[in-house]
Amino acid sequence: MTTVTTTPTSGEAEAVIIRRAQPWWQLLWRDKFACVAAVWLTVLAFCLIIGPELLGDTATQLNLRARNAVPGLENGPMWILGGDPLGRSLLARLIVGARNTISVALTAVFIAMTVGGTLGMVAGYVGKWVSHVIMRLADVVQSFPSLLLAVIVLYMLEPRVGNLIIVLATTRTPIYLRVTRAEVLEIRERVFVDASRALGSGRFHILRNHIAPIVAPTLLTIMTVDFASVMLSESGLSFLGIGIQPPAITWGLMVAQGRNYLAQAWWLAFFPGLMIMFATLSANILSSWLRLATDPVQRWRLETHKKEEDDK
Amino acid sequence: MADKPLLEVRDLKVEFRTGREIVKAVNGANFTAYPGKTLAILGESGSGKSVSAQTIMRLLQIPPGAITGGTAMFHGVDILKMPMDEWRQMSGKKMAMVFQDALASLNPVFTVGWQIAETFRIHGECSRSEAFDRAGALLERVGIPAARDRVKDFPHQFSGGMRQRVMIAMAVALKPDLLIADEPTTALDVTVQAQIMDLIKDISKESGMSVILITHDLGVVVDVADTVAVMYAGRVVEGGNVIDVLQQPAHPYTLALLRSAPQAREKGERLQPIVGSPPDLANLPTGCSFHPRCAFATDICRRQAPPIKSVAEGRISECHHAETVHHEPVHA
Repeated sequence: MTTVTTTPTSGEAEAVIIRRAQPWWQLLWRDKFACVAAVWLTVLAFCLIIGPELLGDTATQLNLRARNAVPGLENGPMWILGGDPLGRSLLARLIVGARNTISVALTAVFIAMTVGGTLGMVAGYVGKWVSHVIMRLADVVQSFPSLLLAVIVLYMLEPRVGNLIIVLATTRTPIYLRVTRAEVLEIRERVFVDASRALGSGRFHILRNHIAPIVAPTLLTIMTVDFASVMLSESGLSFLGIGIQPPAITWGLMVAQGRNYLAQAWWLAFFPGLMIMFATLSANILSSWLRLATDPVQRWRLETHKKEEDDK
Repeated sequence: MADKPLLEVRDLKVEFRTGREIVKAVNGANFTAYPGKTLAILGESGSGKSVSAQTIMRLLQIPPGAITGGTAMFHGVDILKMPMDEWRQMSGKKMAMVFQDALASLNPVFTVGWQIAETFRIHGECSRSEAFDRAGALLERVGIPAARDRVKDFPHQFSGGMRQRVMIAMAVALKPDLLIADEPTTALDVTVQAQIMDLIKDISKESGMSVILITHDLGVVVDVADTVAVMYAGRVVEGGNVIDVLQQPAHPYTLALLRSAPQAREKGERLQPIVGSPPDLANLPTGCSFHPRCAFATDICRRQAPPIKSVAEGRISECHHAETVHHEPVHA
């Protein structure tokens, strides 16, 4: 709880209110949406880390009676979400697919953010010339349709997971780069940067300690939105046959394969699609919570939220 | 003033090159800060006082700004020509600055303790935990109640006056020889202004630190400064001991300033505004920059820039008619 202590005033006749910051889990508990999102992401992380090992070969086990099975319990608990055209458990495949899907999307987005963020900071803070070179490179990347770029690169190279990640990351990098540069251009003009320079700090120190912490929440937000579109791009590439190759599976690939059966067995595409949506939504909700929780000026919104409920 | 100067600025010239015109923000300013003394730079908006300060702190953005001349000797070296790496070693340690807007000068996402501790860490003074301890002690020194607890608070949780105290704590953390305070109290209300000025005065007395106080407030100048330099259109038009300058100004601008200031008027006296408007710095008048607004102006003022005249011991004035003005009573 918030403790408010008032000490005798002095000097500027100012009541001293000392708020003890609440631990993050209490803040999370108060925001129920964020809490649900966090639980869901934890479940996904669990699937990602030990799902495939836990299920063994359940995901590849054929059950011919359960071909395109309707969701329900007739074929046993693993077929609760139905079966695919070869009679494999959809639930098991979703769990196993989580690893590929999330690791590809997360790695790609993370690389894009790191590279884009770093280049953006350099472009925004270092001289004009460097900035021009970096921005024109970003223009080049952005001027190709990203799908075309991906098709060409993956066609020339092998369609391996590593290449897929690199292609996805490359096409995403300019977004982070531009946003970071724009933010840096604004932040570098703020007085506290001058104040820090007046205290004798160098460029690197200012970038790391004064600019990066302010840009980071923005990048984090873009990252969660991007996470979804990278998953979809990956599914698009998988659909074209140059992404993840069967028998490996991803949610995107499952959506793509399920498309053929939309009329007979809608659940084949529906459940993987739902997984993509929930994963993205959770990431989004949690990131907006995180943005509030890490912003010292906005944090009180999370802290007072509960009090209003108590009053009712 | 037989003391050896701590900072001696000579003939400082700063320009801003915008699209078509060249704005001459500072046109050969001279001023000197002595150890342990407070120099006030007094002037209206656009007189070049803040630009001078930024230039000395090497905060001037180049381009569009450009230092086109002058020297600033500090501890016997010209800091304007010093390589940036070398300057960084000195900046904050030997010379520090307090800005006008304390909220903007603090990074919103870090606690004030962290930011004060940063000062020590930049100069590699001590370990992280020790830096935090010292930050707490500093906050206590600048008069923040419950300082040891408040190091963990963020800038937005402080009032305006308290934020300025935090800024002062950061600036004096490494016991600089010279503190440049750029209108430190302009954003604060009057009672808090006085407290902040007292704090700066106390700290300077305690540690023998010199202060250059940039202000447009005559009252503040009278309260804290030892010497004053009055700036107009990028030049120091009058300088000397505060009491002397404000009692017997030797430049028409200072005189006009005093006659227009409520603090300097006696009861019943009318305030006399300064006619005209400040000069266009891209297009300065010929001769003396002040002549279009000056009651004493004669032909020579229009034609020829005035020389620097010494009207009394330690008193300078840049006016053709300095002697006449010097004998003019302020209260008329």
